[in-house]
Amino acid sequence: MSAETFATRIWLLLVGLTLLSAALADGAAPGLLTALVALAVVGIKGALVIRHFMGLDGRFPRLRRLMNGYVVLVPALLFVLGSVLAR
Amino acid sequence: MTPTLAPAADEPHVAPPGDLAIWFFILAELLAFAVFFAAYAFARAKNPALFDEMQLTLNRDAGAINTLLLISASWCVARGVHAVVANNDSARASRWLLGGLAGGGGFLVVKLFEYAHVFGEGITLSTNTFYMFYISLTFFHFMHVILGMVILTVLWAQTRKGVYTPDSANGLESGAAYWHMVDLVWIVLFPLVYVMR
Repeated sequence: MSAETFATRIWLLLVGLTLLSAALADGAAPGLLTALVALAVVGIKGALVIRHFMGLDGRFPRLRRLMNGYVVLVPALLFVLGSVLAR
Repeated sequence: MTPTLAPAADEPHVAPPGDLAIWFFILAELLAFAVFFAAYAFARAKNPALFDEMQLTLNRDAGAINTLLLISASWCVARGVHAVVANNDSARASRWLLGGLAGGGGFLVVKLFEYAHVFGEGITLSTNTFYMFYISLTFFHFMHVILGMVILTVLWAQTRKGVYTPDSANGLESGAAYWHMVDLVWIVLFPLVYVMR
């Protein structure tokens, strides 16, 4: 598979994950499971963009970890923070 | 090995794509947005009922369409960079960058319709805490999309002139990295403001 075809598949995967997020926003009942799925989708989409579009592959482990950490940890910490403080 | 638009892993080039300075700038921008997101989370925690209720008044379809537009624009920009770096094809790169610009322009149009609806309802920054954050956070990002489009326009003009080559694509890669950062921020912002309750 060419790099171009692979990138197009990554884009289609991102489109699919975005539609999943939209379906969650419209249909799913608010709750822990919905939030966890939404957080997972953010992490996966962010990691795909960082790896395949930004070009931060295995040659740049620290920068990639930093960027991946942002898209995974920031939303997760905000959710935990919001849940704990709301009690 | 997994194919990717990035150069092959066994190439001697080990610096991240683009200028190193752009990565410091990107990290600083991400930090600024993280502070904004944290302020939103604190405010939401103080009044979750208001935020849940107000969140339902947003146009979630517009938010989802804008996400699709930005990730499509990112894909176009990545393909544009690849056209130069891997194939030395500036003409093709300029067409992909034009696609990226179209995605960014579409985002701005959808967002303006959203703002027009919100302001038409008489909502302002002082309506309530949720809308204060919604308007200021999304407008802060909106301004970044405009800056990203200015950068993409310069890159498009430069690729039309054939300025970039596989050995001299630092400017192109730097501008593309900035655009992807704008996309990344929206990937976090969309579920935070529109989805999670």
